[in-house]
Amino acid sequence: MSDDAAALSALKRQFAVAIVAALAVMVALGGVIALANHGHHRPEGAAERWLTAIGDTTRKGVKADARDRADKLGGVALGASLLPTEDTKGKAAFPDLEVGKAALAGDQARVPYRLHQRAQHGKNPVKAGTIVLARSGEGWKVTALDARRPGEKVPSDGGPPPSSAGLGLWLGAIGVGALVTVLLIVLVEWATRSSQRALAAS
Amino acid sequence: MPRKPPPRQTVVGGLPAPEFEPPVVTVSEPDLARTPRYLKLLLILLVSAAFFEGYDSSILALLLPNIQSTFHVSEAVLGLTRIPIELGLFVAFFIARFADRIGRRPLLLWSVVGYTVFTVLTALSWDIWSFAGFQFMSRVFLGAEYAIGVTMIVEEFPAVGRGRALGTLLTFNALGTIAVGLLLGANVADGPLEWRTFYLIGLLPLLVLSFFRRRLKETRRFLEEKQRREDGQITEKVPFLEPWKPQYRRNLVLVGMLHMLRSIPLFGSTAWWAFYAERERGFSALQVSIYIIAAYGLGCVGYYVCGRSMERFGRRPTAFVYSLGGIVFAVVLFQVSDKTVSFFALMLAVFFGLGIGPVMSAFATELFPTEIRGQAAAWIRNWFEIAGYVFGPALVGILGDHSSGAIGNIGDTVSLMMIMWVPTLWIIWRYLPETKGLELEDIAEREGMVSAGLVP
Repeated sequence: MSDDAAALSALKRQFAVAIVAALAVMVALGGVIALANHGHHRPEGAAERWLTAIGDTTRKGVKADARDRADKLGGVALGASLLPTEDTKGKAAFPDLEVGKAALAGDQARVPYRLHQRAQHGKNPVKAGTIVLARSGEGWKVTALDARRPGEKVPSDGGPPPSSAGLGLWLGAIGVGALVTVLLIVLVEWATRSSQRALAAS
Repeated sequence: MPRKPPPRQTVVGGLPAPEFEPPVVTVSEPDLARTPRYLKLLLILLVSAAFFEGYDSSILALLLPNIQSTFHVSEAVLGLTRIPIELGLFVAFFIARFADRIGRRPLLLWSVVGYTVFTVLTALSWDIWSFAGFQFMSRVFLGAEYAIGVTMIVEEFPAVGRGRALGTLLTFNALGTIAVGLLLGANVADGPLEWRTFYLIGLLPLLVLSFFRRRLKETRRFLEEKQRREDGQITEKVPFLEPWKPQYRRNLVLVGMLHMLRSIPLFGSTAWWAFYAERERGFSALQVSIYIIAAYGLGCVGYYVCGRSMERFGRRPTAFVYSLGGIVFAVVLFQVSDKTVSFFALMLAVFFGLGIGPVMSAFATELFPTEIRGQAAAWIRNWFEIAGYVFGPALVGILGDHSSGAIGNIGDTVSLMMIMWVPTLWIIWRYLPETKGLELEDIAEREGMVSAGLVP
């Protein structure tokens, strides 16, 4: 075998190892993320998905899918009062929507919302209120719509976001950043040295 | 063309100055000089490729709900179809790498033809799977077309003017996105052909190509390389793993990792900003559209300024300042609630974060010799960068999901991921070689010396 063929064969082996290592890192990272996500079932997310599904019940081509999605989260009928009275011409009923932080009381949650109804002419009217949810197994289901109580605000009204990263996560991210820097330096130094070794040997 | 003397370089590869001056490079520039008129023509042809790369990527992002409505598919099916579509840019690698073997010109021409054919077929899709199949193929050719375009610019333009040409090329990439926004604003999607009209516009590059085809030449550096092959000085076939050989490995790992660490948070943020603005900051749909068009319009000047400043101040300081700006303004954008501050933060995040493109493209091409330049650029773009394009948005979506995400907040997730970009600041300053004012032959000579350990 010529030197070139031997070098190429060694390169192929190294490349296969690198691909396996990269896949292993991806699988490990996927495991860490799945573990981190495990057990999170926020009422704010359920309320937001339900509103999206209700809005889609007027959208051409996805009405049946939207009804299915809304049914799984509390039903379509509950959202009838949110829909605009005029025809949306096949578009979603809500051009935009927003939910705020939930107020929890036992197995019940109250999530403030604010949305725009689609209008064919003029400004899209605003609709605001609170969605009441009840715990259902591991998740949440919408049970009623209510008027907002004092202090129930969405973020654009000055209310808190549904969730936010704690100090630990910010510090952890800086730690991960430092670790990535070190790994990258090691990788570049290794690549430089391996180049120099190989060229010196040849 | 008279050739200016190579600049005296005391810092190589971002490493401390050696105690001796590196030997003066004596490699001569290829004889086949291009006239300014030809370079202008080349740029016109290539900017159309860059424009449609930006245009095509944005159609899918902005028109997905309309496409979903036409084909009557659920959210779950829609999510599934995106996987093969996005993988098209990865598969483009296998096309783009042939540029080192059969030449830049034929591959560019065939890529434009392939892209146009499949884009028009996309307009004729009959269900979501035919749509996904045509879009996959269209992206394969589009990815190759873009990679070859950058390589041609780098090889044909002289050291003075190369940065500006790259800046111009990528400015048109951003203009493609703005064009989609303007067409949407003009209610083209509500016309008789709905979203299909946007794909029919993809016929234009073929018209430009048919007009300029005969005047487009093979790059002079590839011709020289071809001559060397015919003379038996180098091997005919470039192996798949050639750029990973020891002499190129350092630069491939270095530039590839820089691309990946930048693209994960960058594509995560661009994919999710509209959702974040609406759902976490209460922007109306109209405000989101206006912000995107205006901020993109002003922010895409960043590409051009980047091209100019990499020529004036150098690649390394430009990459450093742009990376720093990209991180800072993206974090501001995803943390503030004030809409005026958000506007300027979005504009500056686009200016720096996306505007860094020309200098990153320069690193991905200039640091490799002609015989593997196309393939090395394809490795960097279609493996390292596309990894970020696929995983960045997925990570933000999974971790920031309002219902099940560990963080549960898109704004904080993007901000936390921006920290991944920070290590690149150190890497850029410490390790990246400066190539300002150097011809490609000078760079190849010097990089060879770095690898061989002749200079630190």
